[in-house]
Amino acid sequence: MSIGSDLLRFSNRPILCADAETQRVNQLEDNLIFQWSFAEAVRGQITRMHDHYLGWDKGRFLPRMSAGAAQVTRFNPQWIINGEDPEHVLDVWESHARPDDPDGPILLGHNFLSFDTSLWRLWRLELGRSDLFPLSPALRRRILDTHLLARAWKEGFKAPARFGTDEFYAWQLKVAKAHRKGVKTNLAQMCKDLEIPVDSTRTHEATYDIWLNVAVYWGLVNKMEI
Amino acid sequence: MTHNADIVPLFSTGAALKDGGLFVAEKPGAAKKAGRKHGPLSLCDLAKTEGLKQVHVVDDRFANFYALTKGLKEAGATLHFGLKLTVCDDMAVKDEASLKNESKVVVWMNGDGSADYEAAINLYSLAATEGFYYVPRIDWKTLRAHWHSDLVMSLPFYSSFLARNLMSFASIVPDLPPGPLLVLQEVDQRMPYDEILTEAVERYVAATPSATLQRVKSVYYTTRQQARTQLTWASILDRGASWDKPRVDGFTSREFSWESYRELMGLGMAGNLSEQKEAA
Repeated sequence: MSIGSDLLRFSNRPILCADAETQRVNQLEDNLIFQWSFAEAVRGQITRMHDHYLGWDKGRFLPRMSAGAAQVTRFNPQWIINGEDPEHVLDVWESHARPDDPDGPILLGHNFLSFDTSLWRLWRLELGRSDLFPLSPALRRRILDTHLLARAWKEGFKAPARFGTDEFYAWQLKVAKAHRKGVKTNLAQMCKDLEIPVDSTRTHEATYDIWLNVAVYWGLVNKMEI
Repeated sequence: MTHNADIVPLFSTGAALKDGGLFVAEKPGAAKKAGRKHGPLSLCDLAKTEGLKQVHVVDDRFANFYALTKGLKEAGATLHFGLKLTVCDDMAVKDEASLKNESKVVVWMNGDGSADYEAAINLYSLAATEGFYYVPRIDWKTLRAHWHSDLVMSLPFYSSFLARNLMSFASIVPDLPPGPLLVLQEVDQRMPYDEILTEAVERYVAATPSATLQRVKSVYYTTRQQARTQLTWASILDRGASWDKPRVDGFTSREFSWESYRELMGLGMAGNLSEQKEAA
């Protein structure tokens, strides 16, 4: 094995890049995912896209939809009314994500560690399934948050260990606490910084955001020693 | 506090604002006498109804100390008070960079007389006057210089130098006072990083002869449902926050509850807890 061959840019390990749209930003409770989209990818190339609206009980869900989230996501109540069974969508997601499998795919997303895992957890708890927290080794060693990667890249933070270790997971937690005003790491900014062309007419589409997210991931892992 | 084989519940009152719990220090029966059915629960009432004989309270100030001492005595319990102090590298340095290496310790008063209380008050006074920078702060050197043998040092699970060095870019080299050290290990709080923090704490205890692991469970509110009250309170204190967008990083757990502690200890739900749940 040559030096550097364990870097992510050379890895053929499957990737799942996911994004959730939710009722609000609250991570404690009263917050359900209404759109869960994820892409299957390998080395920066998307092989399949999944996009699901979750058909929660509209009598319970719609009154709790926050005005702010509805505006930002251009929420349409028909998504819930005509949505899929949330149990089925969770099964589809987890058949790909394999939360108990340490050799499962890399789980990727912008704010995935800081936000989407909490919402995935609430989704499971709402359906009476076991708690995702505390994160098991099988899960926490596979999570890669591109928002945190972006911050690390811009601030020059070097990972102390390779991806796939508890040291790397703890390093992501450190990066999460190292927010500095003026350092922009949202997807739009990262596309600019990494010279990824963006079709601004499509940036509100969940699947397009995931496409950009995978591109940002690929741009970052080719610039960082991880 | 001294080492206890059981999991010790550590209560926290509202004195510490968003860093504390929801409990108040009213004397037992005060709420009932006033005809109050809703509102925060007094620790003294909880001690009385639950038959608690030893009540461990961790707060970052002495605001409720006297009321708790008196009220818990009336409830048939003894107060064990732990002062949570912020420790920095050098309390003379007051700049943003100095915040990076802050961490917390909990100082327990363990004497029979008043020497431990006077020593703890002295530490707090130094932190709140000479060391104050956003919050009362003391440095390791001063902590050691003013230490007293009737005090017991402990490291809180989520905010000690171990946690800070593991999960932030802090680089804290502590200079702990001599004497026994209790390293507090929270049990079943369901925070995402609990496993790696537990491993770090256990490694430290294994490598430190003076350290003993003490299993604890911080209790900030009574029932799991009240986690939302705690979050709402924290959001109110941060004027820009709201329920839809609380700005309290990582507030994901409902397990810092007396209800959760009772389940952990196999005690089931007490009658008064059932009533609280129904009332909520």
